[in-house]
Amino acid sequence: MPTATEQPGRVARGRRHWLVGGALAVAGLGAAGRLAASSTSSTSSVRLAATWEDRHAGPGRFAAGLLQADASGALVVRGALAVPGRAHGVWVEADGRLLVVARRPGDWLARLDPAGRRTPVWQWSDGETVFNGHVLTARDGRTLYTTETDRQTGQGLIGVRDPASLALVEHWPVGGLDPHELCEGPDGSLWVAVGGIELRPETGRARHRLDAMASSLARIDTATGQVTGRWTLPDSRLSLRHLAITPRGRIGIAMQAEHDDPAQRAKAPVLAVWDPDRGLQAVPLPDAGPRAAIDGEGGLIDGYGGSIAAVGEGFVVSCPRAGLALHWRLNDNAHEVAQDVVHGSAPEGASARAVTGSWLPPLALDQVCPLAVSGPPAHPVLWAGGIGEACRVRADARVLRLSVVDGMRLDNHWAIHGVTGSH
Amino acid sequence: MPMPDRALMSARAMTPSSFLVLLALLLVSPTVTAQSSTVAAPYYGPEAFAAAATAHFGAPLSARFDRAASALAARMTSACGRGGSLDAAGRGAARDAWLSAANAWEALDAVAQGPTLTRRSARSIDFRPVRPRLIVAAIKTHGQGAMPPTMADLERVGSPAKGLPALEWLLWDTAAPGDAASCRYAVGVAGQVAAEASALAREHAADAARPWADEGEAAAARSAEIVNQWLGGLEALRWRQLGKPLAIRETTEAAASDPHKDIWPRPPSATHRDAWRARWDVLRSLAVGPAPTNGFGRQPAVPPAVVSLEALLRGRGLADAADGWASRTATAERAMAALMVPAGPTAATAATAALPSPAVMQAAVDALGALRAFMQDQLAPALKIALGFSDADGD
Repeated sequence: MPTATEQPGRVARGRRHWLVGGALAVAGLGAAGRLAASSTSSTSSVRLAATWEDRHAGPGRFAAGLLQADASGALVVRGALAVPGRAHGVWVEADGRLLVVARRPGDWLARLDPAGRRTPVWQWSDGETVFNGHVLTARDGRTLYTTETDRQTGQGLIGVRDPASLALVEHWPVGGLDPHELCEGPDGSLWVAVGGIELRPETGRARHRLDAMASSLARIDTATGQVTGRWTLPDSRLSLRHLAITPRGRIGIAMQAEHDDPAQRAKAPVLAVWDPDRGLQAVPLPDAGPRAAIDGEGGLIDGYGGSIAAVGEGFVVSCPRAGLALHWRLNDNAHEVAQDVVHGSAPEGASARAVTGSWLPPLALDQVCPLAVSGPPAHPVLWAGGIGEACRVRADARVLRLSVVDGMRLDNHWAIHGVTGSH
Repeated sequence: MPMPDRALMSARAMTPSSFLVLLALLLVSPTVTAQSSTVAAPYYGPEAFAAAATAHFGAPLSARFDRAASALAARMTSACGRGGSLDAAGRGAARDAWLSAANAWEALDAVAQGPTLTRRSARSIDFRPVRPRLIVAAIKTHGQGAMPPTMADLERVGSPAKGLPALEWLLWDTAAPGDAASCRYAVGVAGQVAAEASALAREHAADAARPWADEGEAAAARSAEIVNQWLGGLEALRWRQLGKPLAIRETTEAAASDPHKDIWPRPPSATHRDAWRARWDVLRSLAVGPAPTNGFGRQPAVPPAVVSLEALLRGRGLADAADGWASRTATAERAMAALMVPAGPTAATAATAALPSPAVMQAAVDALGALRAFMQDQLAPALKIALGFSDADGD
């Protein structure tokens, strides 16, 4: 059982190592690469909104609620409600309630009070569309958006919903299949990762016609519902799925490769970055040298990015198949650039300069997937969940290992619910 | 598509050393004897599994649906007469025919494979929920002529306004128009269902006649598809037809205990029990149906009976897994049986009885959930099949 002792990077743990190394510290999770204060084990501050399968409760039992680290080094449940099936995305509302949406093809969207004081609000799909797993509330609180699919045509939609009742107001077409996560830009525009994969209700989650995949990043004007920008990558077998946005409006996209050839999948990038100057570009995995350091015992990345979080102006992408969270940092100094670049489509009129950054040594955590970042921008703290274990990684690269309740299988995503004390 | 477990690898891919390895494997292979103290069981490769599933499921179930759909079309034509509307006798006869066709479709769709998937039949003839306003609009457009709408006419009608669910609404719902125009439209829709059923029967017959023994790669893909679709069929029963209505009932204030409410599998006929039973019977049969006992001789190209999932496990020497699978299937069978009321004088009488209690339905959901978990955790990994309906993968 792990204890609440923070460890510097590369701490041996059985056959695994925390490969954080000095990476997060050297790179600086903070904006300027400054190290955080070195206080140690304040563990019980951050509340993480999460969804999970509760295998102790029985097969096919799922829940949504809050997790919090306790002083013994365990990530414990602080309020949970049962949900009728596997949930996927979770969003924290201003009043502390959670918006939780079923995994695609999903039937339900719910507003839950993790404290259990307020009655849940449920919105069931009408059967003509299904939910695709993600929801967000606009910054002004007036509208709620969900990604959805029309069951009859298969076309992707944005569901525009009433924030009080969760009821559908209207649908906006996204001009593609399989829209997944969305985020709101600094100007209020909506950004959508359009996965581009054809699914059919009668075959569940099986992928069809991958040769015709058409994934894109779409920008929607929320005043009109019109798609006002779309960016694609040259490799059509890369599905753009999850988004994170930095304070400066740079967007990181976690991708999932759908190549038939395992060798192609193995080397496929899992991160793409969009910025207004350079458009959308895929970030190749590290070359053989750095790659050797990350492959280690973690297995193959296999082109699968499960979740993404913005850390400063960089991104962390979780790769559960490899058991690694990869950290890419935007270079402040172009001269530092060594190996990153990229092929992508720049916006019309923009320069074709490549986005430049560096891969830092990754975090190893068995089946790591959900990620969240807490703390002030200057001293961000990364939270990562895996099977049986979670990690808190401070800006000074110290890793606190936390046990996860036996039988709890965390789903892909976390969100910061709040902080009850200081970091 | 991942390949199922194979000891029968392709000869052309075999090097001398791999041949020796294979030989060694065969000597200790469960192909010859099961590893436990239980009775030895024959090993079935993907070719046999695919051949049996197409010959003993796809072909006969589609033929049955074809007959039932043809009878429904004939009954609708007869009931509506020449330009007339439905009378009570005609409606009753058409309802019985509809029930037979719907149950036959449910059985075929329980483990949808091959032509049922490639034709996307579920979308064209069983899209739910129906949209009454769209049906009424379609009647106005296509029911006004002297003749029923043609197939070409109906291609311009959306799925929520045609197929078996639209016929059900026209035959049962008190809000449905009962005039001659709606009758003509219903005849056209029944014809569309019958045409699809006929095409399915033809294609499934051809599918079953394929030389699966010579189509190793295709047989492996089909085997994986069947296992996946078995789980998909189970999910349709566990969640769409039972769990979701129960959850809606618990989370909304709607009068969800009303068996005619459109959260249940078959509103407005309320023949939910028939749907549950038709689907479960096929799922159970493929799960634990009687395995052929053809000894250890050369396998026939098409096994003489169903090759069940349990038989696949036993043939690989996985007696404990097979026992666990059989035990959970038996539990699910008991839970499903509890959903059924004693058969009445006619199927329709029993079917339209009040809903079972929530506790009985929840018990069925739980038992089916345990079966699903077992497939995800043990059966599919043992057969080395990746699951598209799984809760185990990411998103």
